[in-house]
Amino acid sequence: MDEVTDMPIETDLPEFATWILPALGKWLLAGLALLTLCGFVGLLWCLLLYRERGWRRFFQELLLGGFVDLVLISGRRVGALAWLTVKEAIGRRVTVVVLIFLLGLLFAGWFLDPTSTEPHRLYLNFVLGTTNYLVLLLMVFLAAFRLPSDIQNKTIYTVLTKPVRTVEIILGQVLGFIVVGSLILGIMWLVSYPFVVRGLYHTHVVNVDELRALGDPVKLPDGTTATALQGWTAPTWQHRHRFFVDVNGNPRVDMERGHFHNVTVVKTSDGKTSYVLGGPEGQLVARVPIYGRLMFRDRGGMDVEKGISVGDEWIYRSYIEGGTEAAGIWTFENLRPEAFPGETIPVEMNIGVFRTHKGDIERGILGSLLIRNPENGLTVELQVFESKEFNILELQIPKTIRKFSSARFVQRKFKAADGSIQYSPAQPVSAELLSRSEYDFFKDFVVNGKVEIWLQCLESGQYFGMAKPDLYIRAGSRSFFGNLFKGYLGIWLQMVVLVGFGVTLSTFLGTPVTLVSTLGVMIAGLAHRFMMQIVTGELYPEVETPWRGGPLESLIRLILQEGVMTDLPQTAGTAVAKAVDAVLILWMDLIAQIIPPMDRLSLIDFVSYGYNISLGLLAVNGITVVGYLIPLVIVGHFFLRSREVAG
Amino acid sequence: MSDKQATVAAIDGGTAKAGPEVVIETRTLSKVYRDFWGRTKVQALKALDLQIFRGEVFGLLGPNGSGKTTTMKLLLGLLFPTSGEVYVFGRSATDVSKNERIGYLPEESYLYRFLNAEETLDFYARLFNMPRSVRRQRVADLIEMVGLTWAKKRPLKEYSKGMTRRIGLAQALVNDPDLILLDEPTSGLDPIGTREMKDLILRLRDQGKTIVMCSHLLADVQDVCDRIGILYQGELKELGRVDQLLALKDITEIRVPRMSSEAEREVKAVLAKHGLDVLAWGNPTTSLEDLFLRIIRESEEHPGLRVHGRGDGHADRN
Repeated sequence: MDEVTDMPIETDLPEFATWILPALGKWLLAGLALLTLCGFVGLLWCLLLYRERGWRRFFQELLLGGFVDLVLISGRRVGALAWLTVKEAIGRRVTVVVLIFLLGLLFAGWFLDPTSTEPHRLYLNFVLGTTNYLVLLLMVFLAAFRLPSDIQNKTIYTVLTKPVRTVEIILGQVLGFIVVGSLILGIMWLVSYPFVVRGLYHTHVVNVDELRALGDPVKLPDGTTATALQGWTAPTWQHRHRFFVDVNGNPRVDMERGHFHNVTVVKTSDGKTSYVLGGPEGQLVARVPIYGRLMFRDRGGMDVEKGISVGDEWIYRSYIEGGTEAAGIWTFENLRPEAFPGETIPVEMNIGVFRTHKGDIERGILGSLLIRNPENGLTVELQVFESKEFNILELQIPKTIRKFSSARFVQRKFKAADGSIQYSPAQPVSAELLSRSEYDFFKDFVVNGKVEIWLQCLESGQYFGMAKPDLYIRAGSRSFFGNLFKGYLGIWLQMVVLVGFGVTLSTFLGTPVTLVSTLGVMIAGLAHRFMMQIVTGELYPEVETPWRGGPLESLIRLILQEGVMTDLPQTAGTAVAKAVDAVLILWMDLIAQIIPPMDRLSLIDFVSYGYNISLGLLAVNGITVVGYLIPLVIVGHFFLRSREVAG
Repeated sequence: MSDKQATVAAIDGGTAKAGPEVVIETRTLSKVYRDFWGRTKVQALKALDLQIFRGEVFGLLGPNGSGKTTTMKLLLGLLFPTSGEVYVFGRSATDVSKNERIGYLPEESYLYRFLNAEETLDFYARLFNMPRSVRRQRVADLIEMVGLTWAKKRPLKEYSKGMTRRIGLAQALVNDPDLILLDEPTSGLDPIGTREMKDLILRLRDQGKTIVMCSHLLADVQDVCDRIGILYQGELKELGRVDQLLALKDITEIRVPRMSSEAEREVKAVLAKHGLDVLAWGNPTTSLEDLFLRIIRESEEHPGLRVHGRGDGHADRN
């Protein structure tokens, strides 16, 4: 069992197929609500400003004219306006941002510590994080200044007196900023790759004289004898690798700090052998995980949707109790033998551990990994493992299973729709099958590409916590360079949605207010999950009030020195505070629904933790951004159209 | 009689007698500026009724704050009427498609200073959806017309005010418009530029284009406008043909070349016989603009010519 120190992404990853339809429905509903709200406010505004002419102004000129404009968009005009935006951005010296980035990289070499335990993550987080914030801030400033300064300088007069639709102005600006941002991101992507690779580059020296014999000499087919050798490489960056040479003279080094080195054998002129190590390998990877569907089995052996909550823990994981029948059951689908060319099927997992008693703190909690045929219930216990918090365990399921502790028939027990208890499968598996000493993973356990992997905690009084992405089958690796590109694509998507907000806000706000508002969208977007947790009460699930406390209630608790779990005295003051908090939380809920989930769009963690970013995830994020962009452009169009720019 | 003369002859005091195409029409057009709370700040325009016809040069006059620029912006759709209607080419002024046939030169040339002349005109031409080959020719022609070929690659931020006005004019003409709105077209121009601008306006009128201009420089308006409207405090106070409005009907002026002293005596005698007082008798003066342009022209022909001041405040030229 190998142990690597990488953590997977701790979030529920949406699957495109199951995500798209509900998301589309929600989007249409939200769009309709937004349209109704804007229409109502717009009508009131027109009646206030234009009095008796207000009806005509709203329905004929604004609404009808506005929708007609939407279908008369000219690509050439949008192109011209985008070109103007790019020219202006260059005139505003956006190239300085690239220089700042390059300077940052030059000096970062002094401060990034390559001797740390995970230097690749340090480098990648630095490069991607710097790019992310630089580009987003740049876009906030550009978008906040463009239209308001056009209106202030009155240059918009010469544009609006041409046959230009306001939607074309919005689209032109959005496209222009996207082009600028893409160019900058492209440069940063190309520069960051060699920076990371060079920054992580190191090698080790192997002193042949220090290698010691490993075992007895072995007779080779050609009649000669040879001895395997082992030793250590010289230390570089505070680590060294164990070094082996097998009896055939093939050298290799062990994995250390997430990497290894390729070794070349060099024969010197005097006939001696020396070993030259290449650069680090295996650090910059893009693992491809196959995720399954997670179900739970409770302590009585009944199928349940969720495990148990262990109290004040992050709700993301559900827990199973050790020493009982409780288990986490992952069902994988579409497994094909050709996707796994090796001898084994690698499984990686990261299990949360909750201890109700300390036990031996130096030792992990024991768990067991089982595989089950979902059709006939044949189950074998493959491995007993020791789980440690915050570490990935890498287990290998051999294609031909010879080593296993027990083979048995396991039924799934579940409650049917009519309330009766059902068992699956109803018929037990044949005794012949159970008595075998060897199984084939694909023939005996995988049915139509479907297999179950079970996880159980073996120590009573201890708990394992798990969520869907915590256990996955690793199908292979993709190009890191490509994954880095996808990571930058994540930043690009964040940038696009922020540009949309910036440009739309600038259609009715002045520069300073647009600047602050867009910055607000950016900050709130980056903390979107936290906001949603507050709104949905996920952050403090144990507090039972519908709005889980708010600023006023918290203030009262601070003054009274009451904890969040105690009930407040039922006074008129607390009732008012709770009512105000309820309104505030509703308001926050609304904001949270409008603010884009920019933290979810960020894919930096995937790159730095070494996980391939799937096309499905990119599609979900891409469609989310388009889903924001369309209403933003339409709203911006109507705002600008309704505005008297010469007023 | 030319088309233009026929059109102009048909106009009398702002009312078309027959046939000419109405390019701009306002009906009880009013504009009230309000604050954020909807309270009236100022009533900039009050019930303006106006018609402007194809092929005429119309001048909008008035002191500061009289509503000239507000009218112009309402025509362009940069402002929206509080009440009343405004039509350009028979379409509502809020209809963007009317801009296909309009050229607009704002008071200040509100252009993108980081672009050069070629880029500026190409950009505005693209807004008219012109294909590349048409744009290229049109841009080259316009730059030549406004005499900026030598500076076409320089960014506008390096241009003088006069050069900026010229490129501003070029952008107003980029679509070969039928209606040209000029806000203070001669402001910031030297006398040569002013004359060129006025000549251009007349040339455009001769091509059948309609021109609406507002200006403080009354002499310029008088030189080029067929009709004028005078606004004061948002109300139209006067509207009509320039020659008719300015004519002093009870005074007669006779201009004769090289009149002899004998003829002068006889004419005065005839006037006295009819009991008419001579209000003025003498040689007319040329305008300062004509004098300036003549001196510049002579200086170009004779580069060495210069002036020496005399003690009595006059000068000798040699």
